[in-house]
Amino acid sequence: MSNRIDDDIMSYALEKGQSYDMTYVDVKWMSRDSRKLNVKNGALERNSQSTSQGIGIKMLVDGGYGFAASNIVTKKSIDNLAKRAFRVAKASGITMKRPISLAEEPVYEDTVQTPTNKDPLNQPVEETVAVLVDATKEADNGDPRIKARNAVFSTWSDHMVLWTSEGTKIDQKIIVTGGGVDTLAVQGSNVERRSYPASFRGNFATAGYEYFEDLDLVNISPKATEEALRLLDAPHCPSINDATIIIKPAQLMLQLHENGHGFEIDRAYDYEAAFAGTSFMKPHLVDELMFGNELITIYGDATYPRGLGTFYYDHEGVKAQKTTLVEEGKLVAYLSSRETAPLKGWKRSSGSARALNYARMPLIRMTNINLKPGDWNFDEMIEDTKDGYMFDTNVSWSIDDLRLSFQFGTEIGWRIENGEITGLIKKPSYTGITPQFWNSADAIANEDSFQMYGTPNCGKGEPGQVMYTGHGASPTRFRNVRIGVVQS
Amino acid sequence: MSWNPRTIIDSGEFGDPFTILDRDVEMLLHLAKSKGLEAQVTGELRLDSVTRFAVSQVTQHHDLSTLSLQLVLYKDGRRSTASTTLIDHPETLLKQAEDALNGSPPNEFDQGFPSPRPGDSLDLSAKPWTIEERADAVITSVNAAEEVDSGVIVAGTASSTSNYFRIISTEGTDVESASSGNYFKVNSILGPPESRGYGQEETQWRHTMPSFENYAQEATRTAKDTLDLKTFVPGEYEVVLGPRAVTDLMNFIQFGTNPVGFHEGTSYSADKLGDQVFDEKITIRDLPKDASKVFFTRLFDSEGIPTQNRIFVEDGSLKFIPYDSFSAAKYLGDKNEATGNSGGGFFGGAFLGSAILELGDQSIEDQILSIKDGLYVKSFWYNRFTDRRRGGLTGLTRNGLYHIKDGEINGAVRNLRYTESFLRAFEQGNVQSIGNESRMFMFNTVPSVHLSKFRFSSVAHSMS
Repeated sequence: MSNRIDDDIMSYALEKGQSYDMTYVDVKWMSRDSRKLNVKNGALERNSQSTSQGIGIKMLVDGGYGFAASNIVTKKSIDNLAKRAFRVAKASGITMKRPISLAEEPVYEDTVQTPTNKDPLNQPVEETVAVLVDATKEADNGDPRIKARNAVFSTWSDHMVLWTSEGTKIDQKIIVTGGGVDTLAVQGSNVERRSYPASFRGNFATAGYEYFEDLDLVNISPKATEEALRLLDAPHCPSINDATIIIKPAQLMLQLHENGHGFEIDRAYDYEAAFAGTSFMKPHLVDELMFGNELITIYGDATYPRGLGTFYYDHEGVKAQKTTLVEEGKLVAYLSSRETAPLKGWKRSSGSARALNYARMPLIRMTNINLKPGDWNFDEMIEDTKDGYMFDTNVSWSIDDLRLSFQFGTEIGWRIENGEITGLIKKPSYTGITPQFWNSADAIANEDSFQMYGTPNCGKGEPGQVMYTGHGASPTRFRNVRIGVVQS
Repeated sequence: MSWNPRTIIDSGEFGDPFTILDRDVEMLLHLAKSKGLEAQVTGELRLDSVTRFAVSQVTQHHDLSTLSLQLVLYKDGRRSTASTTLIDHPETLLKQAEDALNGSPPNEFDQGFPSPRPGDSLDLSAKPWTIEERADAVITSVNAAEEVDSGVIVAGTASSTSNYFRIISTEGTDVESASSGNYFKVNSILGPPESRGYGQEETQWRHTMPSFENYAQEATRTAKDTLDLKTFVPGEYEVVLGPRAVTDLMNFIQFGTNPVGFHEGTSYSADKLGDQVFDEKITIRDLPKDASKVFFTRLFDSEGIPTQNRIFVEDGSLKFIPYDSFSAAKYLGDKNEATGNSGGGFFGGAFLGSAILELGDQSIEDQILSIKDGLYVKSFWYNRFTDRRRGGLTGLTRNGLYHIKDGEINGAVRNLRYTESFLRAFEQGNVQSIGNESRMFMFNTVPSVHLSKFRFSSVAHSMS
């Protein structure tokens, strides 16, 4: 159900906003078209399509922001929105001790769109359902311990038209496609799940339907079943305080994600103290804190091809950038917005402000938080590991409000002895302190093993906003890690 | 006397959205019927007004109104759903759902929409809380917090939400429900960046406005206390969990009870219906129609089935599993076994979102007084399942962890990570007492709980 906003409505809304006594106003129209398909055990259990659209007016008055939004996009509704945005901005303004000032950004007029070969929203439903049905059939090996075989497809298209009182006019469409399979094996109270290519609805990219085809779910699903069954009989992850572990990208991506929240400048300056929390990486630690050792370089890269956090402009009209956050171990920058970059004395936003939809104000959100690859061949890294474990695919995650103390669980683990993988372990878990952990890395695999993953459901803000971010990494080895925290 | 749910919207401020909503839902049902399709149509109006404050000033102020439509089509075991906020285009929505339906293979379990059932008409509205009143609450909170310590940094949220929906179907369902509520939260931060103290107080409220001063000052006192921390070794401790900590564990008990997890064997509830799973002091009711006791209220679920106040856990025994019509058809063989708990596809199709943990007879002061050496946990943070089947969780303490020594608070303790099962935490014999005063949270209303033992697995370090 594709739809557009007329220029005359955008123009009317901007003029209406500018008619108030304000210092800045922007008008953001956004629409999202989406499709979700779930097949379980060969039967279609979810077949949903959705379209949301609406318009929001954000106004800066007396140093305070006001925002009002509605899905009724008429001139009459816009009159009311502008009035309400001004009213709430005035109400905000009376509390302001440090009025908001915005970092400068060039004015843009641009129309951009994620490159795709096949529009995922225009693919016939029956063709995608057939793939998902086949994937769950291929996952069925007849073992009665298999309780569920799931295959999922998701796609959405976010269309934003942003006009600002500074003259910026951006028309941007971001298209996301994803999918995955998982198998659930149950034997008494022993429950194991194995997912490909990642857990929690699979993997995602800013790409067209061709990305879903490349996932090759039909051929990968038997592996999920085989590993889920083998995990039922595998030994439990042992409890060790100083283990050597290799973390593969389908888990390391979530490590980067959870630690990556700490790079959000609004957290560092306490703007998220009431909900998401703050960050142990306080502003005075920039250019001082050794986040990791010299092997660790981390980027916030909104330009990485196909990354789930890839876009052209953020929702304040700032052009997408690649920002080095950690350079050879040292914290050097944050993800920032036009409102927050000046807090640190920076003249330009890193272009990280995004909103869930028309009805939300932009927040600082991760883009693609990627770990720079090292120079190890992955197989040689395993051969070099005499006594260790390898973990993959996130299943559980928890981290404190400073992004400092974390604990993760994964779907699957492997024992490594004398440079060889010697078997599976079940219910792997590990815990640590963020800078200690990243300082304990001693080997990062090279670019050949680099993989991008997407996290489609990152929550932040009140009212709640779900955002999609990307995380890329190569398998990385860490020393002296506490593992096996979760015991039955 | 029946209540008109449409009065939840202030027509002086928002006009009359119901004319549009009625026109579109009725048009959609008519169009679907004319094509020989079974259909269920939902029209929803939601108003959210949210004031966020941080660094002692308002940082975000949202004012949102959303009118949305959802169309579910069904024919011969095939089903599709289409939803939109694009009003005035019912034909387009129908076509989208119809295209998806035509592309669907039939599902042998699906029996279509539930039969209509009569429901109640009850007032679930809250006192309106205006934008200006919320800004005043922010100023009041900041001033009150600064009376405790002038160096405090104050953050928080003040919000007001109203929701109305109408559901009609070709089965004959035609119901409407509305509710509203308010939320207030205040955080206080003290100390230098590398070594800070944090406090937080929050509550949902409907008619009785909380004392913002008291909440802000309590949060600030906690922040002050937590500037000076003792470090405890991980291990098992006797604990008093404050209401904010109890609500987190309760959420997992409630959302861990869903039909998919129950029947596939991934939930703690699998094979346990009728069994004693918790201490006999634990009785939990789900009260979606009791606006005086719970925040998440509704007269009908998302399929138009009347909600019911009912017992969930009685004296420690698990008494109830929720079902929506799809899971009832799939697992029980009859769509009309649905229980009025449909969440619209979330949480395995059905969930319990309006729970109360029945009160005990101990004040929180009495509970603390009864402990010789233990911990008082004000709240948890970032809780996640580690093992759904065994009720395994991990998370951290936040915004106030205290040492109890000889019945008295004996200083604040550095936050700890717990790795514990709620089955073990609330097992028979481990629950010493339930508090006699509740606080209302999003999905439950709960008092404090005194447990004999609770397992902490590591220390949450700070940078200092």
